[in-house]
Amino acid sequence: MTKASPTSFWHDIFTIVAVSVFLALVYNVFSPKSLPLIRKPPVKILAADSMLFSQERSQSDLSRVDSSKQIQRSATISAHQDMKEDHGTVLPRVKREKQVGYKIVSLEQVNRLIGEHRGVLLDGREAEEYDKGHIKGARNIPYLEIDKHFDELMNIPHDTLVIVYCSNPECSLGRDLADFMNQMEFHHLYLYDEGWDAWEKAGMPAEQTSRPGK
Amino acid sequence: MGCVGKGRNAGRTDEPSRKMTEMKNMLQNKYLIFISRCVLGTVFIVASVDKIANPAIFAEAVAAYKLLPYALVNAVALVVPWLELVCGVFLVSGVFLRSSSSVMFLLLCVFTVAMASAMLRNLSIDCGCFGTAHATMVGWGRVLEDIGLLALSVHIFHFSQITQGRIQNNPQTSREGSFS
Repeated sequence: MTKASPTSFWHDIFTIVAVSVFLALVYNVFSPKSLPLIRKPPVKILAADSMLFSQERSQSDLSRVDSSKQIQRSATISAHQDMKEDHGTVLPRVKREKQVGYKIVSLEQVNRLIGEHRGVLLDGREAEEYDKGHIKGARNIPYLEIDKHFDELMNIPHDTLVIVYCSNPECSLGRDLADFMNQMEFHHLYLYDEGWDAWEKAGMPAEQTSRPGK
Repeated sequence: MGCVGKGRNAGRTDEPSRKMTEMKNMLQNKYLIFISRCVLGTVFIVASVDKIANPAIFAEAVAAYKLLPYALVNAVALVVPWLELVCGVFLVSGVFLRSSSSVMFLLLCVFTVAMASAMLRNLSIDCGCFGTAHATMVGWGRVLEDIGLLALSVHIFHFSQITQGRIQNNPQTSREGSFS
């Protein structure tokens, strides 16, 4: 029985790793979906109360008329950066100039918006998680099954104030759903970044869903 | 009588070792190794394609595990799918078998630990296993799948060299599937 020498074994491993790294780098240079090698954290833009709760404004005016031009400008820049870093080439159909992205809302802001019966609340988690418990009045749009819910999203008027959420800031399903809806040209998107975990911990209004056959 | 007793005892002690030998013979069957190679290689190739095609989405999945420093996420998300593809292709084509299966073993260990830790931390995240084409949440089922694949990689690593050596030394026994 012949035995491969340990040197050639490690040499082969080195070859495999080197070939993979080389291919990855070359592909990344020429790919239209290339990523920066060093990742920068996403810029989170908080939604100002003045932006959300101005009485005189209709929902469709929310993004255009804002007392703080700086917020609007920084939101545009942030959306532009996010596009460039994370999703810029994933969906090239989107016109970057129109990109506003989404803004982060706090638990208090979400609670107040619900109290004023404004907007639509969407839960991006999978159905099982949603059934166990979700924010009262939220609809379930599992991002992982977004294709099945595309029509449901299309039925929502695109100038509606939409709040999406997931479990916690680590969960990307809320962000992904917001990005997806942004590409569908929803204009008033907000992400409740703290998510269901913080909502439940704070003892805020919640409900469960029982589905037949489960 | 004593001799008979000895003989019986000897038969009993031989029984487990005989079964071990039978099992070893079965595991080092070249067709079984070929099947293991094809299954593991195909799984890795299929898993890598969508990640290579959509690196940004895979990077999001990697970042969601919260195990790596943020700056390193993209580099890992770029290189790991290519490692999977290269190892998968090598395994299916029968080149660098031991080293490919070792790299796969290491990758699978990392995936398993990452998923188990995500489960223990109650993270409700996309597993990122097969890219966006077959997006699924992390779960113990996925961990078990990884453990199954780990077993395949160990099988290939352990027996591929023996098979290669046997082919080189004694082609006749190799065809019969017997090691001795």
